[in-house]
Amino acid sequence: MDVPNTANASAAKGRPQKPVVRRSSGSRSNLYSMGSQQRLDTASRSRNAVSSLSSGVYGRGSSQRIRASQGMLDRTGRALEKANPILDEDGNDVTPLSLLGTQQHIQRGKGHAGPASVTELGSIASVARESVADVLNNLESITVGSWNASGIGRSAMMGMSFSNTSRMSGNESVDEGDVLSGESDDSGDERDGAKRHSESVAANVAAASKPLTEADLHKAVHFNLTETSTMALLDIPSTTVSTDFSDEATQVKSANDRYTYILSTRQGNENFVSRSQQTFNEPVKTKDVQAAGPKMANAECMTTQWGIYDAVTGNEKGKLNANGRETDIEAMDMLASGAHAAHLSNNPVPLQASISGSALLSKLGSSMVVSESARMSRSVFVPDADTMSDVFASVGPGGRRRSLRATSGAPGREDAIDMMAEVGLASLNQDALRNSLQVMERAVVANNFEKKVLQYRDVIDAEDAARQRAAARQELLNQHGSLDDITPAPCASDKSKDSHSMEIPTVEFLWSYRCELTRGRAVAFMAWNKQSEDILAVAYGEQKPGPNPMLGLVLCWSIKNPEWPERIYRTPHACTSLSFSNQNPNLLACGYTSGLIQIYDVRRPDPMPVLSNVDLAGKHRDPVWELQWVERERGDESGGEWLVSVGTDGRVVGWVVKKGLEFIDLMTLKRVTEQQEGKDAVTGATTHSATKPGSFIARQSGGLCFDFSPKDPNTYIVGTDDSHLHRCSPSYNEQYLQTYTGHTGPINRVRYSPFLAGVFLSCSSDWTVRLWREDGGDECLMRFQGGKDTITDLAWSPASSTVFGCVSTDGRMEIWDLQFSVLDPVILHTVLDRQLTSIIFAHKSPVVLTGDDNGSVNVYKLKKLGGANITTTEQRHATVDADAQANILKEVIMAKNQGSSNGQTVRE
Amino acid sequence: MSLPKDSITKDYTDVEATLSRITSHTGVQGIVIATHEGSVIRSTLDNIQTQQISTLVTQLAARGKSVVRDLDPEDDLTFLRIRSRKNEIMVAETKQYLLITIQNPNELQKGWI
Repeated sequence: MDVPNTANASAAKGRPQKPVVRRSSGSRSNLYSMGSQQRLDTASRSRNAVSSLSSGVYGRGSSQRIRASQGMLDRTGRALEKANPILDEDGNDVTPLSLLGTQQHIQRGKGHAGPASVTELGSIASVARESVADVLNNLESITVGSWNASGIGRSAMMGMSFSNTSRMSGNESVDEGDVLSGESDDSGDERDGAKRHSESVAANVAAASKPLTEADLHKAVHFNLTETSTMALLDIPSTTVSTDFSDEATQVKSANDRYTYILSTRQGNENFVSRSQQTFNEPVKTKDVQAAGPKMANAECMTTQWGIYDAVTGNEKGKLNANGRETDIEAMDMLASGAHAAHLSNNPVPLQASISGSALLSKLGSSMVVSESARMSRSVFVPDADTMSDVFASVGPGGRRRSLRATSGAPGREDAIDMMAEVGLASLNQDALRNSLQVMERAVVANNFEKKVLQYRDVIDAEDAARQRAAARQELLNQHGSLDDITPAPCASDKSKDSHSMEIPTVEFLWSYRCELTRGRAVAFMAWNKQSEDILAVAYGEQKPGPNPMLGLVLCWSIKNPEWPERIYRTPHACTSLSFSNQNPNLLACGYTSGLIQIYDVRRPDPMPVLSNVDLAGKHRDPVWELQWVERERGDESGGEWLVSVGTDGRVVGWVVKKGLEFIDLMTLKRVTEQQEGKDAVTGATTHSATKPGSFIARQSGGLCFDFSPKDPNTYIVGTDDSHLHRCSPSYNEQYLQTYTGHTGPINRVRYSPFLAGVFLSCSSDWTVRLWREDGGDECLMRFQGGKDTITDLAWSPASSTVFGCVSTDGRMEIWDLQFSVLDPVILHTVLDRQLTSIIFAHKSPVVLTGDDNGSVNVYKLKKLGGANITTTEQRHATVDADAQANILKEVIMAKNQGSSNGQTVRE
Repeated sequence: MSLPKDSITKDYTDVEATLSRITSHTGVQGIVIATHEGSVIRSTLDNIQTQQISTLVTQLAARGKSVVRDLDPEDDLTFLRIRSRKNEIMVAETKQYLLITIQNPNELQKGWI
């Protein structure tokens, strides 16, 4: 321990001095070496002066300044503290405490409280010296040993220092002077003026100190500053390597070099970053915010291309939807209001039930209107289930589903919609419903009639054909017994088979147009629609006498539905003739037994006729037996059409459809008498009385039929009920051009050949069909008789010029082919118990229709008809060569003529 | 026979008559008139079948309608026929309702002439 001489010297001067030894603060090295002991002038009483005692103290009590002060060492504990208190820069007492024991110090301190003389100081100092050494040794051992066990050592020291500091802190208010002076007196050492002692110590000191005297103040105070020994806290000895061992030496050298290099470049080197780090663990403060989450709602929409299209363009459609719906419901409301008195009553009439249902609907009002977005279903406003069930309980037995609902008890949409359903069919759009039903009916019926319609259209059913081929092949197999002959054979044999069976024409019954409306009515007339032969108009005569007779009936049938007619026209009188217009295919003219002629427009199901000649003076007074729309060729109105009618009143009348029906008398049929000699065509029709005696009952003969020549619209043939045929012209309304006689009964039908000009057929009640030629005199060319009954109708085949058909009242349908035979019909088909009343051929299909007296129109398919020139299907479907056909007929006729000229009289 | 048909509510009876006529055709199993949502307005079948048919066929018709309109938005479905081995389902569709008919077209084979 060195005692700085300067301090002594100053002390020897006896002047109170203030040698202040300041320790530099902040120097780390101080930590590693014991600072020099300081004795400071306590007389300075300056706290600040010694404030710099700190030597890098990091905190008041955080690091320990291991210093020993003489004062402390004096009493080895408190005494030492009092003697040489060490203060850090803040003036805190950081005097290291003696580790040797505190009690002793305290006692000692008490004992020595009070101002002590220098001598005592010196003695104390010496004592302190010794004890300092002891303490230091102790401390050293303890601290070095416990440095590693830092916690313990530190805590021990801290404990000491804490107690120290606590004492120190407690003394702040103490008057320094007393303390210091007391202490200085006590210890005799110079003391830091700012040193604080605990009150107890100070008190002890003060108690034991003698009162200061003036003399004391001027005494020389001696300070001894001694330095404590150096304590090495960290010692990393360097290893030395001898350069003799080159391996190690070079390694070490290189390492050393590297290290020096690093050190040198350390300053601005980026590799080195001086950074102090201290993790501040800031206290965590939790902060909560609670909020109600935003309410989310899912909305999704699926759409399609047409949905978008509708949205963009179809607002009108949407409105229509809603409107349609609303108007229906409004209609129901009106119904309801009309029958309001009866609503909710137990009325068993279904209609009433539906009305009461709709009353409920109206009660609920607009809330029931389901806004109809076509693609998305919405929920329907639902009234209380209770009210619903109540209402429906009151609805009569019309509610079939009532019990269902009551048992199911399911509220919600079902109820509402069921209720709407409860209202029934009346709520739906009736027109649309009717249309849908019509289409549906056609579909259903078409399923049933599929094969037959195919046959009608003369379409070969592929399945059938395949099956037939397979069957034929099988048969061949059976016949030939081996497979070798099959390949060439089938075609030939098929053909031979076909040709073999081709020879016999037959008719095959397809179906029958009839329904319960027609039961008991005789078919009076049949007519195809000129535009589409799928539509057939049939006139029905009177019903057989029964309870409800009379009302006439005209039905329009369509091939799409052979079970129910498309149009039903109820007529005031029995209809006797029909004709569709050529130019306006929707106009249907009907003639009646009352002489009435009406024109219907079949486009509309309206049962009222478009035109009627009820009021006209020119109408027939007797039944109209035939009607035809004829093209007329007049100079000014070429292409116009007029309706020609003939009736029992002996008039042939032409009607023009302009603003109404305007009539023109074309001809008055006057009676013709038979004359013995060859007739003069022109003069035979005069009103001259006949050569026969007697007079006629009626001047006119009734006309039963007529036909305009297809080649010459200025000529027509009229058949009368007095068995005469008259050729007339519209230009001459007074005279016949020619009269043909031969028939012996009323002539029922006269028809020109569609192929050969000037040739016509006529059939009459005299059991015969006669073929005439216009310019062949008044004798018929040929006469056909198949049976013994009235021939009621005849028709030429539109496909073959030599084929015609006729029907008779004994149920026979005869198809004649003049190429084959003029004596017998090619096909004879008999329907038992029926009188056949009419026959027509179809133009586009090989089909013939007959009407009978019980209201059914039978459709037959003609098979293998037409002779040798139509053998294959290709030829069958080919357009008929009119000229060729005409030639064929001509040849037949000429052949016949030749035959007849051989002496056979044709006239009978 | 003819007079009652001229009754006042002719529209209604026409529809009714047609309905009964269709039902009486050969092979027809039944008719269901249903709304687009699947609820039944009229039916000639028993309850279970009716429910089944109305729900399933309305879905089918909606699908068919969707197809037709996807191809051309201005078009619309009018009639749909599904033929199976045993039956044929025919659906006529309008804005308000569906008319469904089930028919067995094979019943006729034996009666063919």
